[in-house]
Amino acid sequence: MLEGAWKYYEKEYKKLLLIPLIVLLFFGGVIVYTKFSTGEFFAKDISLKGGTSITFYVDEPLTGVSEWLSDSWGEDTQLIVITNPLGGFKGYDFRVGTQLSVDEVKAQLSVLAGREVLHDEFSLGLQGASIAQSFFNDSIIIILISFLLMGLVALYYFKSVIPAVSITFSTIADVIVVVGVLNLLGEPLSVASIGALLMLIGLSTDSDMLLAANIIKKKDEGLINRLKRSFKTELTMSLAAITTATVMYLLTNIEMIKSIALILLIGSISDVLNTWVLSAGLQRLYMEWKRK
Amino acid sequence: MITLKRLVKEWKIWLLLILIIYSLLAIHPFSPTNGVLLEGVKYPAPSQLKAGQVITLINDLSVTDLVSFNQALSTIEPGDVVRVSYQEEVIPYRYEVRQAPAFLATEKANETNIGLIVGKAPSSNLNFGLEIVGGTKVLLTPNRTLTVEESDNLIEVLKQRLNLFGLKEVPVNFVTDLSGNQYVRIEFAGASEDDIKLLLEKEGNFEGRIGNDTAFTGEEIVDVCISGVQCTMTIQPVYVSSEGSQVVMYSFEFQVDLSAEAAERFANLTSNLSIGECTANGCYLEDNLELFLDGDLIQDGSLRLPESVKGEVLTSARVTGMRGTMKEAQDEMRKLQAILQSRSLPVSLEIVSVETLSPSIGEDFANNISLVLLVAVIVVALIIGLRYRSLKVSIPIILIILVEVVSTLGMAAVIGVTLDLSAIAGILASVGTSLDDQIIITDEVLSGDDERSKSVKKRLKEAFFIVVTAFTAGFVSMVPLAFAGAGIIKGFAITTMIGLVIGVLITRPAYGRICELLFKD
Repeated sequence: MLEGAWKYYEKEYKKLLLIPLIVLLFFGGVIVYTKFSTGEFFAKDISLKGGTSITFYVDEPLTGVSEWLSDSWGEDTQLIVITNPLGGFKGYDFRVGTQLSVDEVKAQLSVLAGREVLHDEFSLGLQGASIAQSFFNDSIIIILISFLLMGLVALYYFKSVIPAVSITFSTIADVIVVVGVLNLLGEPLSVASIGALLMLIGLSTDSDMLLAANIIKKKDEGLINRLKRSFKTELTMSLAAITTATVMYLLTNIEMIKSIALILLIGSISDVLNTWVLSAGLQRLYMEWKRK
Repeated sequence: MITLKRLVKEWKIWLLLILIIYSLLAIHPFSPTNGVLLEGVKYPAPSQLKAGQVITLINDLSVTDLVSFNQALSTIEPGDVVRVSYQEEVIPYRYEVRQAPAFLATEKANETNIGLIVGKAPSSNLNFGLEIVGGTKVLLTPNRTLTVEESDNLIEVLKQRLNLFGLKEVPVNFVTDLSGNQYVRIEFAGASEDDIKLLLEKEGNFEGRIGNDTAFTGEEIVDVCISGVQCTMTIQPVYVSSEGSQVVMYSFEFQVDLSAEAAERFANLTSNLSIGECTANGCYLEDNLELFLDGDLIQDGSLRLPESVKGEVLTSARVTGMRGTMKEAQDEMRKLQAILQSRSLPVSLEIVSVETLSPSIGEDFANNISLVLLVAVIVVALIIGLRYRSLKVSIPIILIILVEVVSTLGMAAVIGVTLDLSAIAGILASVGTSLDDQIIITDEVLSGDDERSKSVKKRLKEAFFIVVTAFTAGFVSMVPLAFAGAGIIKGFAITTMIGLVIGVLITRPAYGRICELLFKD
């Protein structure tokens, strides 16, 4: 059965190439659709569009929290209940689209809690809209430069354009899938997401480099044996990344870590397909073309 | 049998051991936390006391934490003699208790003032971010574009004002984002938004005094030259003879414009002074010009007056000085300029983002991160164990990962990287890559079954091609983030890069060598 799958993978890699391309097209479509329906390619959180975030830990769940939130700061608000990963209630995260002062937040939290809330009982993040826009612009530039530099490195080590393009393309594909899935889940991207995407780029490069070295650089054994060997290696790597990301996602009560974990989780799953079918397929096409 | 000669040859493994020891010394875990950390020193405390020292005793009352510090403080009345003992580490983990010179407590705002600002003593050298220890981060933007001189001056004035609050070592940075927007970033542990407003808006009561008389006030300083354009500001080397030989010193000079009234008053006051001390460079008046802010003498704010100014009406005065190096002269000049301007900020700043972080939520974050990391390591260990089904393989992989976490933290402590949430995530990223690399190396080395002809060395070489390629790609992809301004998760890029470099230079070669030794036959 497994042998059969390998045979199919060996012979029909061109047909298989269609799968990641369809997936890519689908999530690319989701992103474009989001652009047309909301005006942005993806939802941005406060760190990228400006506003206030408030973290407030309390011992017991409070009543009427969502009414209080909209009464206090209107419709452009979001409520996240933080729970302890090991069970139990922890507190709340509030996101407000406007900029609030510490005193204002303190006063409103006191109303909610029915007692005087002290200065050091809550955390508050306030982001001006223009600085958030600047963060966003910088992030896009950073990611684009990172892709470019990564492609150049691949070009330098493999001395040819196709592996460099296929490695970069498969990494870009990972990013597109991640953003598409986040759009479907309704999860906004934050400044922390940029870090997570860069982390993903790093991990994705590891697997792509491994594969490219096996397909292009090495000459011993047969191609399929080399692929089989690196598949086991790659699977261990992916499994480690996927389980670590899952553990992070399930156990953390820090929003920033949770969003990083989610991106890594989606990305590492998508990377298996993009490395083994997309990147490998493109490189084999190239090898075949070179032989002719 | 392993001979000494062979052990010496294992330099890759030695390097790894040295790295671990060095990192542990740098992190300095399990530091004694009995006492309070000195975070800032103000008048009237003596200058022997410095930020970073740990205070253990005040007037024979032992200080173990903030509570006992406040108890000791409550026994002191203004005018009382204060004796402070502090701990100093002579060699790692060996502490000596020293005593600072006794001083008199003063009164400020109806309270006893001993000029010491203290915090909780840290248990290691790791500098955790405000998300974890609590505090306030602000990002400010100037209302117009500043030149390099102006921004340097602004930072200096801000630092000066922070010093006056007694807050030393508060990071104040000038950053520019990729589109050229300018920002000032300040991070205070434990300060509130009100403190920041005070820092930005408070008009200090600035005075220059000669003896007990006011020569000029802050309002009477019309201008302090900071650019050298249309006013005087120079630094130049001068030859000074010292004990028969010529040495190069750097003299600086900048112009301060005073109002006519102030210049008149200054002339009156100086005309009554007689000549005091004389040096090779000339004679000085008996009293210094002393700079005060809100009634406190500014540290280093005592300037000597050369005899030539006696009785002169100077609306355009020169402040001069001399230092041993160009850099010292520059620093000194900037500091004096900042002191003279400290009444108010040279440009107005607008707050663009504020984060106030609760210490108790931060503590919870720290616990959560520890839990996540612990479980992640266990899960990874399980996967590695299941995959290789051999302790001989799994244990070194896990050990190397732990070494890498410790040494990345160690280097972060050496460089002084602030470990905020993004920096911690960066460590995680580099550990992820490390794990990948070790799996690649292990698999290459173990792949010998069907290709006996290839030596372990050759296979390692192939593995290292992948490791180095992936390293280069990973490293360069972090470069743009590391250089982006405005503090977009810069910590993430820094710790990832540290981890990657340690990996490719030290831990990976050591691991390769360990594999080679383990699987040679």
